[in-house]
Amino acid sequence: MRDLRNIPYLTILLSSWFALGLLAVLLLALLLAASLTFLGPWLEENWSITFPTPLPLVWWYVFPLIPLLLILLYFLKLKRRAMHVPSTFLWKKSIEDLHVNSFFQWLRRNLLLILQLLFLVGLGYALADPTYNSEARGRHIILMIDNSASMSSTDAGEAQDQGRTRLEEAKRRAHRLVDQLDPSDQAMVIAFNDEARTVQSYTNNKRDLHAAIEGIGPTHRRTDLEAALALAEGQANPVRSGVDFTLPQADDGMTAFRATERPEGLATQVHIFTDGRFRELPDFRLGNIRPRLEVVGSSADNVGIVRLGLTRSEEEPDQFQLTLQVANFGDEPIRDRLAVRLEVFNRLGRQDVRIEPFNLAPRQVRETTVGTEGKVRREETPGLATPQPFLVFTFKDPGQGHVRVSLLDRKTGRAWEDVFSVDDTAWLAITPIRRARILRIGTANDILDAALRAVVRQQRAVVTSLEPSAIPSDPVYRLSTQTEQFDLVIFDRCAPPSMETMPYANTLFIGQVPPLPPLGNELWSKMQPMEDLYVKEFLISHPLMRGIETLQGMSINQGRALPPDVLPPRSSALIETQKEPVLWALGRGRYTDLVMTFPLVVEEQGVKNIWNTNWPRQPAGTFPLFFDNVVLQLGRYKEYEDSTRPGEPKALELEVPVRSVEVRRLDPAGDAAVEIQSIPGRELAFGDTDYVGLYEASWAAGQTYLFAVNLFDSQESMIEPRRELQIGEEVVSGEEQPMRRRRELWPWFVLAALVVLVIEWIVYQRRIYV
Amino acid sequence: MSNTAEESLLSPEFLARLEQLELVSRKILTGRFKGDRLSKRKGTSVEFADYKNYVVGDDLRFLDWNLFARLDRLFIKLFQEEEDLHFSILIDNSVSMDFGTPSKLHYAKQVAAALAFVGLVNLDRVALYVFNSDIAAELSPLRGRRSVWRMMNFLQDIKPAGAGNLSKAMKNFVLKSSGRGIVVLLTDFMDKAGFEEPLRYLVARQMDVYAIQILSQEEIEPELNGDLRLIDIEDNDVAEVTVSAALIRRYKQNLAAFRAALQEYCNRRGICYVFTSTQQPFDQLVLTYLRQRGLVR
Repeated sequence: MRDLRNIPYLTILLSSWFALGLLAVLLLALLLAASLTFLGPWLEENWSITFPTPLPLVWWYVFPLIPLLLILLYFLKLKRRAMHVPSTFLWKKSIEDLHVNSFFQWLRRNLLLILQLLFLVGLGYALADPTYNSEARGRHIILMIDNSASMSSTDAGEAQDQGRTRLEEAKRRAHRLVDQLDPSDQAMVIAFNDEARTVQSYTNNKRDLHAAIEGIGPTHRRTDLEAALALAEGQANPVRSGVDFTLPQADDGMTAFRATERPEGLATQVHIFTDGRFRELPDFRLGNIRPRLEVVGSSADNVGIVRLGLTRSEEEPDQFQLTLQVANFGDEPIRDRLAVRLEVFNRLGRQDVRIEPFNLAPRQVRETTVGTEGKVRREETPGLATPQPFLVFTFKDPGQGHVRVSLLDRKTGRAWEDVFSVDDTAWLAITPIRRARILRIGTANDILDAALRAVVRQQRAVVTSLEPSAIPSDPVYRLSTQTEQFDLVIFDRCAPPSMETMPYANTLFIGQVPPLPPLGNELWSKMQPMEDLYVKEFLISHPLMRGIETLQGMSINQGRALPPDVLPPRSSALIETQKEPVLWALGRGRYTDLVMTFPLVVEEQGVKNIWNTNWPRQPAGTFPLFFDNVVLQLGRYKEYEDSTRPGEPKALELEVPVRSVEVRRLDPAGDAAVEIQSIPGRELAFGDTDYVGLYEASWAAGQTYLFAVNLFDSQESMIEPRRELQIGEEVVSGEEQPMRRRRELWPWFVLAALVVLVIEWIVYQRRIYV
Repeated sequence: MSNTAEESLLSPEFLARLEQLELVSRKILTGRFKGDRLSKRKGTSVEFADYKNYVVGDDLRFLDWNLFARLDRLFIKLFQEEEDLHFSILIDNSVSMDFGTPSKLHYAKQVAAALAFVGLVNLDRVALYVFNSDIAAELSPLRGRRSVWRMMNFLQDIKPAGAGNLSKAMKNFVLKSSGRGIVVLLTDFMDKAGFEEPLRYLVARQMDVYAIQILSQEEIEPELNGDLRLIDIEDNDVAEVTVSAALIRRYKQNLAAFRAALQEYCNRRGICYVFTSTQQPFDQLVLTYLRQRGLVR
């Protein structure tokens, strides 16, 4: 039996649905108002729902007016179109029972109103921006964006937008990540290549973050993740980056203070947007960093010039020999498609063009299992030209000019196109032979004279000789202390009286030392004499020791020990004996003072040129080699400009002192010129070598100086994105991991509002209740 | 509405077909002149009807002498009288009739012309009345084929005018028309005062009434949209409607109910009710529907 008593209630409920609907709408609106005011903290605490509405408070006072206006609209009389009909007789009858005069009767049937109010309430909820916070708030996030050379590869786009660079894709993903940040999150942006730069420090201002990300431009530099991670780690693990507070400090009263201030390490999410082309960092201590790799890029197909060498031909001194190495980083061999074009330019224009077709082998990938854990190490060897790995061109010395080497597509005859174009062209600047200008001060010295004669004969240097008495008043010597008149000043058993009278040049002190403070010119006499010395070891990696493989057998009769307390910064011992070092390279501003604390020859009882060392004989040929290095390095003899890597500062070694230099990229052209002011005593250097190309430095007299910036980096040219990376003990995978993020709930409310709107539209169209 | 249609109320082909028709009255009615229809009255046809006792004053020519010889009593032979037929056509020319394509009025004129032609050809007395709020014009009874052109002229001169008042028009019509006969009423019946009273006038005079309701397509299937202020073309009455499927549905329901009520009213009182739309070819109406209803034969 049905309980009949319930039916009247049900009927009442059904008949008053409009009132109930209106009540529900009102309740929803009140709930919204409450959530925005006093209910907010409770919701946040218990349900972790927040309402970080972007609408200013004033608007929330205005917002309720909209439903009121809507209701008012319902009272407005419709402007109806007049239409004549034969008779309103039947129409009158038809609308008699539809035509409602009573307001409440009218309201009772107006579903549209309720739907529209519901829509507005839904919109209100959406505007309140309810957010479900799935994770603790206030995270620290570091976005590291790689803008090294390989990030310029144009293989990051989907099928629909070809040509998007990896950097653009990385920035797009970074933007997306910033959009997902909670207002309580702090984020920081680091751009890194071979150095890391904080482009935006910790902030929660999304606009700043977006602007910072947008401001990151491409470079042609190499990649060094370590620097970037160190920077990120510095932010995340301040203890390690600063003073180690666990160690007892000097009792200066600061220790206690610092200890209380000791910041805790912040758990930091580091999102690395990169293509993974850098060496792994198995020794890196992550600390509080939780790195995540966002790998961009897809392709490995790249052909690039990895080495360019220039030597003067032995047989014909007016011919240059250019050695070129091109590598294939892709998995497919390249046959009958590739050619290299060599263009030689002299001061007037193009002097020579050669086009040489060649083939490239595919890259070799070798995977070896390392250790017991079955870890696979992957070794990739780029494919070289076949059958000869090097391409050699011989061309006539253009005097002053440059060489451009570019890859060509043999089918089209145009420039070779691959996704990574930075390494498809290389330049080399050829400067006229620059002889070292050497000032030799001292008395007769057979060994030195023989060495200098050989250098002069080889046209490598111009030597001016002075007697020791010329110091410091001789005009030639005075000139050297005022301008860079000489590249190298050799002090043979003599020295300037003070540091102020040291020349603006590199120096070589033989059997003497510079007047280093605090002793000044009394230093040599106060130094500890040593006898019967033999070489124990030498700094083989130093440029001045280049080519020297051994110094065994070299012995020195007398020498002196340079006390360690006079050593300036940037000092290195090049040759060490069983007692103390005897050859020092001391830094002095931009110059180097090479100090031999033993004389080559001594004068005993009126007999000159008694050898103090057997170095010119033993080991054979090492002394001329050493002296060649001195002339090359300190005397700056050269015949072509070494190519600079992107990002490395280029020292501009101009023959004449200039006040300012204007540097411009000639090829590819288009950049604005950069002016560099020269500072006396400092090396003139150009730092904006972010992009590869041929650069020209020009100064007042219309004089120019060319230099080239080339990538020449297999690591960068190997553009295949790496999906996995070992940092510290953690293997970071490049799979795109969904970031645990705050869940914005407003789209659901917009959706609900839209559904209501659609229902409203249907109701309006169907006029179910009209 | 369209003048070209006015020009040709009836086509010659159609006239040829109409000539084969004749009007039929379901009632035996009295006429005024001798015609070729049987009349209620006894008269002078060849058809024997009855006998009656001779009373002084009866025409001695109709005494049945054979009977007098046999029975020695005087009987008068009564014969069926053959009379003409009173055929009235009432055309509503109120402005509401000026609607539709073709207009309802034009349609009414065409039907009227066809029926009047049939009547004239068959030597019936055909009278035409035009009414809106009252009888606006009338054409006194015509007879014979030669009156067709007058009838046509009259019809063609009818222009829509005035607001309709069916009741008053019918009242005045029955006062004017003396004889009983066939009455064809061509109207849309869209009278807010209702249809009962005017029809009652006609029924009361025992006329053989054919009520032909003409509605335009726009009235049967209104194609309106949006929020409208409907203005009655006759009395400027305003109805504000928001057209919706439901309203249209209800309108149609009301129209059907209205028609059903009219139909029932007519059926009960022996009125022949015919509903037609202006979209229906009027010749089909005349040749098929009215034939079925027995107005023409």
